[in-house]
Amino acid sequence: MLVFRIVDPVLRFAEPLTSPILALGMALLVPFLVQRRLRPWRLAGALLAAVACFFVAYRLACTRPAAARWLAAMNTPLAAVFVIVIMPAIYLPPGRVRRAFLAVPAVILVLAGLSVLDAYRSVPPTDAGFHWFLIRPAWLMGGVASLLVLVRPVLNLARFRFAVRLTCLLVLVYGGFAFRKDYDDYRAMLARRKQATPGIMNVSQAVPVLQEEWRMTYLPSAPCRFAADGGYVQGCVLEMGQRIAQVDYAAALRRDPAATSALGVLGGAAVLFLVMCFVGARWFCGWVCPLSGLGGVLDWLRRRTGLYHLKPRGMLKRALMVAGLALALSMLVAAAAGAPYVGGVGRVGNYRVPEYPFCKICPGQQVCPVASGGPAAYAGLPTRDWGYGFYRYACLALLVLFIFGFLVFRRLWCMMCPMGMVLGIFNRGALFRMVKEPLKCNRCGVCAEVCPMGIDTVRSEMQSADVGTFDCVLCMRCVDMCPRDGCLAVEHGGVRVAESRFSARR
Amino acid sequence: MSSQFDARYRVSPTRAETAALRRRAEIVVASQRESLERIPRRPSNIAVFERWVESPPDDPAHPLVGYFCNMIPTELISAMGARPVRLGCGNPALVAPGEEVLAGEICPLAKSSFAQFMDAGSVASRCRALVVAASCDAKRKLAEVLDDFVPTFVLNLPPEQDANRYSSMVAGELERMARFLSDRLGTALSRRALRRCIDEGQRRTGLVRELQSVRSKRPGVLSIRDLFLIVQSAWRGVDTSAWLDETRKVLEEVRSCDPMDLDLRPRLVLTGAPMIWPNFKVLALIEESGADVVADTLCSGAQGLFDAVVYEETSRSALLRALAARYIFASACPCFISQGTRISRVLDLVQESGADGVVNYGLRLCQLFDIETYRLQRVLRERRIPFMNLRTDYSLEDTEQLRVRFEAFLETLGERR
Amino acid sequence: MIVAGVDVGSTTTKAVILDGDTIRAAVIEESGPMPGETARRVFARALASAGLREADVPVVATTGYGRRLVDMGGLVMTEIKACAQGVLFRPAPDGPIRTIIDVGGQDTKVIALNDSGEIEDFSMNDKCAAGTGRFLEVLASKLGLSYKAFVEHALSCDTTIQMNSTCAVFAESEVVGLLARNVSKAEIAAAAHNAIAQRIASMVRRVGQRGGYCFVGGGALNRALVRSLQNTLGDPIYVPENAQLVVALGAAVGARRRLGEITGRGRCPADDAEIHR
Repeated sequence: MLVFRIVDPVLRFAEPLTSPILALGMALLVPFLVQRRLRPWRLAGALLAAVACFFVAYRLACTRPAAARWLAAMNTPLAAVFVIVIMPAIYLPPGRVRRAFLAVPAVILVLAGLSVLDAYRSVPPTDAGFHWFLIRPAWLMGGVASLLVLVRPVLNLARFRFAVRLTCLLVLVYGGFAFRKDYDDYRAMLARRKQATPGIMNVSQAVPVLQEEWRMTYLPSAPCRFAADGGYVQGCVLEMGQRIAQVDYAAALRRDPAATSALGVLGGAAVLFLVMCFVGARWFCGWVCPLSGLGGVLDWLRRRTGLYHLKPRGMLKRALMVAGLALALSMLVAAAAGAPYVGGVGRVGNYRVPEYPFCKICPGQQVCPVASGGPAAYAGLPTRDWGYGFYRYACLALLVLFIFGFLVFRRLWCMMCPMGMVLGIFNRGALFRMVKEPLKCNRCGVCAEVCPMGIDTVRSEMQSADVGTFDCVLCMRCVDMCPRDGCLAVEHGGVRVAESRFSARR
Repeated sequence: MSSQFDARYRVSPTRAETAALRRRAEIVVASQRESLERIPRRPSNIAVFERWVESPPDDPAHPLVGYFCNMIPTELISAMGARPVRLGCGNPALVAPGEEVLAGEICPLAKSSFAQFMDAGSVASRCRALVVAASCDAKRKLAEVLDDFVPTFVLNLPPEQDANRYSSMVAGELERMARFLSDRLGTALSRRALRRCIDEGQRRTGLVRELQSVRSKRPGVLSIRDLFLIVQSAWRGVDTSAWLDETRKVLEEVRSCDPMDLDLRPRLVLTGAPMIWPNFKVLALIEESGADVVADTLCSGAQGLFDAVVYEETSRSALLRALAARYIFASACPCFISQGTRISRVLDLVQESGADGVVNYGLRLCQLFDIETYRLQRVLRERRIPFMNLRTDYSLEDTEQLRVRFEAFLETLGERR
Repeated sequence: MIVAGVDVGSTTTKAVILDGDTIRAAVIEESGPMPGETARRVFARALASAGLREADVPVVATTGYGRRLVDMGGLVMTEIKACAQGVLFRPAPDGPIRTIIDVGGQDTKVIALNDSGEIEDFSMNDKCAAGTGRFLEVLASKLGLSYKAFVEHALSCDTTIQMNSTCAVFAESEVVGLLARNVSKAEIAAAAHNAIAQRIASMVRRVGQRGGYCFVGGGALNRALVRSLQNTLGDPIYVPENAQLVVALGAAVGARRRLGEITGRGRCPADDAEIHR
């Protein structure tokens, strides 16, 4: 298409925008400048200058091949979408400039649609017909983000959260079916699906769709690759962790090309991951994670029956945290110790270790295939010969905990999810802040009542304004429900993104 | 459901000679009405509210259930098909008859409220059931006495306002209350009806907040006494949609009001014990001495409707807990260890409304409010917010003594401005 | 700038005519049952004694319990503010005044001042006779003495007897009991004065004891009471001259300030001289 003949070169030129280093820089610079209350044009000028500097520095760095590889290993379209679409949506104050900005997501959404049509051109005439959305990852992420940004003004906070969660659930769980890079990729997916369903131990062999050459895009969200056909985006922190544990460091020191390249990929992924943690903290748990989305369906079922939920007491929460940490660490140790892996099997003495040990016990691997492919896609529990049956029974236990936890306790799994715990570290000290004005609080306790993680700090803190906690998934239900105007608020980089406003709801 | 009270020693209800009682009560009401008439700007439909606050309209389909204390969740009563009517009495003429039967050294609200029941034809005596919150000693024992007159339920309150610890306990007590009402009224509590009543209550809160925000900037458009009449009539067995309609009219009127000199008088935040119609002596004193109350923390004033019940889940337990959160845990009543809640509210209101000072209304013989004044006074003094404590009871005889104190307080405010 | 202040009290009515910084006239009279008439009469006497006519006095301020019963067309202020202003009219010899004690016939006031001479807090006892002049009058008559003799008796002795009652009614019965035990009238008189002083001292503590005491009102003319109060509070007490007229004087000061505002001349230099620190 003509439009892409213009757009594609522009996108190639704008490659530095996909670097998480720029995203991090902007995430730190923009709030700083916004606090200074510069005039809009000065602010825009300063930001453009910063971006230009980065472009120059990036191009200079790329003249060295090693640096170019490392930089390229971290890049992801998500960073560009964040800088161009999401950050302005958060930080632009209401006014003419913001209204003008809305043209950007609108254009991106249109271009995303056009890119689908463009991709259909590669479909041979003999195969005319509907082949789902043939769309490249960049346009998918841009399109989804733009759609959500455009929809935000017409929805209240609770409905917007539902829209985001639903969208992320659909994209992450069913994306493997519906979103393919191009027609060839689509046909390869159909061919793979015709094969016998892989067993539980070779699920990891499903080819990840976003693997372009040797690079993968890591997102701090589950599920990883266990949605049907590997999903469209992938990578939970433990998958990355297990891969890092499995690198042959001795070989890498010897500059073995395979090991070095693996290290490069994982290094890039780790940088990207950390930037995303810093920018988003545990917001992903509250708004994006499809495991919590699937859990939300169970929660909805409970609410329909009119049953109340159970509340986990302090002891239970602590025990779950410890159990989650223990499992994660022991699985990482097993992953490292079981190397080398032959055909997906490693050994520690007589103990058979699967290539991604944590993934074998993770409930996501049980639940997501069923959610995306139906009961026929269920891959089964690990057999008893793995780790003397440890994997089978641990998997069963966690599956039961997952289902029971979401059905009866609201978010019990999230209290032990290692992914969530890593993100939780960034809940205080990073960009997201949960703030309270104690003078306006009447201690009614509605915030504690609606909190799916059972947090009491927001209700009980009466001295300081900072009420962020490790557990908080930033679902913002407390802010939404609080009946006292201006009492609770969520800030990102110092800008208020949500504030309690009962009076505005009526 | 078994009764909370011991059935062995019931006594027959004490009745009094009603004609003289009613006459004296009406004289007090008339004198307060007279002082209301001197208010320069009143809403055109205020007579409706004056009527409502005196006697609830007739509605045989929905029996009256009387209650004491702002902490009783009226939505629960409404959802069971009854009309909640608040029975706290503010008429000084009823204090003496109450005193003759009960004791003298108890709070005037308890004495006069009791005296209502000695008149077999009063609103109080016509209630099908009573619900009393065990907030203070007086109410708790009063409930025991009143059980001989009208079947009474005592809603036990938690010892602390710790929602984490006591939310289940309160939900359990509310279930008990629902069972009691179910026995008396013959209806059952349905979630749908409760949700409908809660949503109506939220509309009420929205209106009161809007009135409050207009008055906060321009208190002259609506006298605090009229605001109290509007708010208190909502608790007098009136159909909520009728009340919403009339109050919306008031809101429109005050919004389109022209600026006036009355808007420039000294602005005060009022806090303290309940002031129930016709006990408007102190309010009249404040306004006639040339000041305005821009905000209050009284459970019998705007604060009583300021908070709303909010719920997310709709299971029975969740709805009852939502009621508990707003009615019990958010209450600023001194019967709890609650000075923090009340002081925060006072400070927040002073900040928001730019008030010149705080007036604390203490009801004589109420230990709870008396002792709370200790900390309130010192905190305000530390923050250099002018503070005045007016301690009085229902009788009108000390009006002049109060007046000289209050005028002296206004004079000190005048020096500072 | 000639102004006047009229204190329409429950026991006595006072009028003061102030010319700039000089007191031109001061009159006291018993109030009687018609406070309005008395106030006008007292004002007229004050005018006559100063050789002025009513038209010469542009602003008249009224204060006291009957301040609204008389329409003198001027300013109305509470006796609390008037008392504070009157006390600060002249500097006190022993340093800044921080606490004013006004013992009247039927009520007692304690006013606490801050360093700038503004009223910070006050406490009034106007509901019961305990701690007021009325208490002493009742006991004097019970002992069969004139008020003057009662005071002389109290001054003549130091006693350790404590009177238990502060209520005037109960105190009467207690006096009878003490007489029956052959306690001398002088001791009883002294004990009565100490009882009042205790009562006043607790009022002082309620507004925050801070020294710098000034004693005004009819009660300040009672030297036995001054002595008892000084012993109880432990600090010297300053009794200004014309202690009984202080409130009326303060009203006149307020009138002077209002006159300054009206005429646009602002505060008269004498106004600033009030606050002597």
